[in-house]
Amino acid sequence: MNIIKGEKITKSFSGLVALKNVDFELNKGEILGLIGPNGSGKTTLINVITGFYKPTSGKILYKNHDISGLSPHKISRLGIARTFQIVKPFMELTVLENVATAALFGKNIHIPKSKTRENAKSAVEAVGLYDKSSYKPGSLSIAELKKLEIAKAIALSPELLFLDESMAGLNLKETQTTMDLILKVREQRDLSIFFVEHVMKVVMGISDRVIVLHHGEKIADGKPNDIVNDENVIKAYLGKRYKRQKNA
Amino acid sequence: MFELQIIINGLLLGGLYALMAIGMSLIWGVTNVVNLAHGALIMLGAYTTFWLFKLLHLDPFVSLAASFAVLFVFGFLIQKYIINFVIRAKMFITLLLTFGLDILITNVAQTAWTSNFRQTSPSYASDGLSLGIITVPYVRLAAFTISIALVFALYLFLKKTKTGQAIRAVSQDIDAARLMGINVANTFAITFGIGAGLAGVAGSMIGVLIPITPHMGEILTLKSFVIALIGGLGTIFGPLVGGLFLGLVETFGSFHLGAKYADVIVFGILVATLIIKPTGILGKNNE
Amino acid sequence: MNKILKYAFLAVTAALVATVPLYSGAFITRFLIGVILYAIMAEGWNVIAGYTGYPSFGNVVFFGLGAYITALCMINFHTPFILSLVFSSIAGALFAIIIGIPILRLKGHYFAIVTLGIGETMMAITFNVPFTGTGAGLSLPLAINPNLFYYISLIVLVIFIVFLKFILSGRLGYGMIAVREDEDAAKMMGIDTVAVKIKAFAISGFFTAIAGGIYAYWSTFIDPPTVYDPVISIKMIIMTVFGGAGTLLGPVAGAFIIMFLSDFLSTHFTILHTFFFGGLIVMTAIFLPKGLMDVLSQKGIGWKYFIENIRKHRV
Repeated sequence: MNIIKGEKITKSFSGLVALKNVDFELNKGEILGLIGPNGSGKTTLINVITGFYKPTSGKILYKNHDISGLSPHKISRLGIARTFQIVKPFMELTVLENVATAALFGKNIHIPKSKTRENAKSAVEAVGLYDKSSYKPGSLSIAELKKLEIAKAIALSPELLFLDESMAGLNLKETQTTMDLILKVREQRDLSIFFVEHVMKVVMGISDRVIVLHHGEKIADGKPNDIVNDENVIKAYLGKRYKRQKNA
Repeated sequence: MFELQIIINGLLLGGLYALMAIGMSLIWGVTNVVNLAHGALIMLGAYTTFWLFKLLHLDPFVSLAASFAVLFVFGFLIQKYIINFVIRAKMFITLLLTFGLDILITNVAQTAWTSNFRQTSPSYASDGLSLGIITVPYVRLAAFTISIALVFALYLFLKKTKTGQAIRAVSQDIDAARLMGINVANTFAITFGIGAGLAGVAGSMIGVLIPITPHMGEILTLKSFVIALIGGLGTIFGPLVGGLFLGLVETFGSFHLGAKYADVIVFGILVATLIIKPTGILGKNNE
Repeated sequence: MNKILKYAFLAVTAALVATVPLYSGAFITRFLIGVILYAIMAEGWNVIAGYTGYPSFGNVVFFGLGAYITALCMINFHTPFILSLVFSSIAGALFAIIIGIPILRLKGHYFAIVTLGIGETMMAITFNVPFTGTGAGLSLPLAINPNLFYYISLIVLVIFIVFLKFILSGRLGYGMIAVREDEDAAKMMGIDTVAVKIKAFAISGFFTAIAGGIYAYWSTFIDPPTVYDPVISIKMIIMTVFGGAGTLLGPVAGAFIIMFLSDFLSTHFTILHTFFFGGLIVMTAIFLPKGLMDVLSQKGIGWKYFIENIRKHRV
């Protein structure tokens, strides 16, 4: 059963086509990876789904309800959360305050305030930032900021989580712990995850399924192993680089 | 033929407006500071020319050079030793700082020169060129011509001179400019000096046309912003178009609705422009 | 024990503040009314700018509007003072909503300069429409007991602070801060940022307009240049920034300190007073951009704090 489904999503900016008839489907509990070269429309697709852009045409169905063109805050309240590629922490608030703010909104918008505190704490714990609860984002490392971004997203109690390049800029070890974190969070919170990534190992390692965008069009959709061997994908994106990675 | 006369008046005023605003646009585009003290600088230019005329009987159009020099130095020092300290702070802080400078300059001017209305009034102030049904006042014609000439001079300066190229480089990318060996702080100060100098020259000529008071700058800051906005940032000829447009609209509006509503018209244009296109009519799409 | 002492101290202070007119002269009462009115306005600016991150440079419009509504009600309809204040406050909030819908979409320089323009425009309109007395201004009836203004403005300020504290502990308050910190992140959290901004602006307009209404009756005469003076906007801004924008009591502290200094200089060093507001704004922007409350919250503060501010922000 799918939790979200996109039908022929097209987005153009004053004539420039950024997405062209993109179909996708994400099943409940699944981790779907989205890859593609720079400028292929990955972030644009997330922005369209989460309401930051209105699709030029096409439909987005969330639990079989049409959400295309809804504003971001309405989409968030339905149980869809996202992180941003360029992290957006609240600089003047502490880590816990950042997450506690999130815990008041999203799907929790109607829960009494006193009951949201626990949720905030458990989200901070889940990403391993409990020791830094009272720090301000200014004193966190990049890896920690990415974790804070994830903590804020899961504090919204979403059912569907979009992760926009949560590993970008992390070293190997940090990438590994973040990957484990994502798997753990999915387990604990019964999440469906859609994530955009550049680091190939991550995508192949934890995705149940992968879709590939190139010049705004979907060129492949399937199991990670099939994607790696897909002619089109190799030509368009992976090229020599991935072969090198594979041999190494 | 009232309408024709209005168009002439509007265009002549518009040229002067363009000069008034181009300094603000330049500073904004290069340093990303919206200088809320811009009107105060115009006011200082007006007083410079007024006093030179009153005390030394210097012709106002001759003293333009002095006005430019005085304001250039003043602007350079303000940027280098005051605004530079907050240039990378939040935008609000730079706005606050320049607003503080505006109040400081205005209050000092009021204490020094009182709030009395003054005007630079050379003997030829009311003479004009009669062309049948319409009249072109000499001072307005001169102000227009000088303004347009200075806008072109600025264009050539930015395009052809080394300093001009440094200014353009800094406005594109500070870090890259630094790698090229450009002293960013000094370039900002020179930019601010030029912007202030042009404001001063505009003020000198405005002082021949309308009364001078320490508070005359408030509305002129707003008008300069509207013109810079209509023209869009990062262009030299944008403010020219914006200035002519505002001059025409204001002249037409005052004629048909009454002069009392001139400021309301300016504000209406401001809001309308921002709603239609927040980056300005001719502007590039960069924040 | 310490707690009891603390509460006793607070109670005594509160009693002393509440009864100022009974034991002090008219001069001090008058000074304090000015302080309290500015504290209300500064706190109003704090709501939209300090907490929500939209620095309005034209909040004086709400003050002017409130002053005119109260004056017109009392002169034309002989409305009781308190009821006139209610009308003023409602008008202030409504006006904030009406202008807020288009202008709160603007950011940064654009928002600042449009708000600056609104003040100038309202002044021009008030000059030109007939029922406002145009440039000649309006004269209000004389109040019987001048101490009335002290009590009323103090009550309004206290209500405002309690109300704001309540707001800040709820979703609206968190929403405001989220909007200030990052509007896109706030949206994605499910915060209706448009509604949050408009509500904050309406609260700001509501209380600032009451201050205007009180001022009108207190001063008994208003005209456009007085009540739409852009310097009033700047005073609320500098009081808030100096005291600490985005803190509950910073604006009150800022209003008191700045009014005291301003009064002191204008009576004893007239010439220095010329430089006072402009100089204070410049110094605050350079050395104290986070305000007094931030300085007080730092431990072992020294020159470094101020130098660091400059080092961080220059090129």
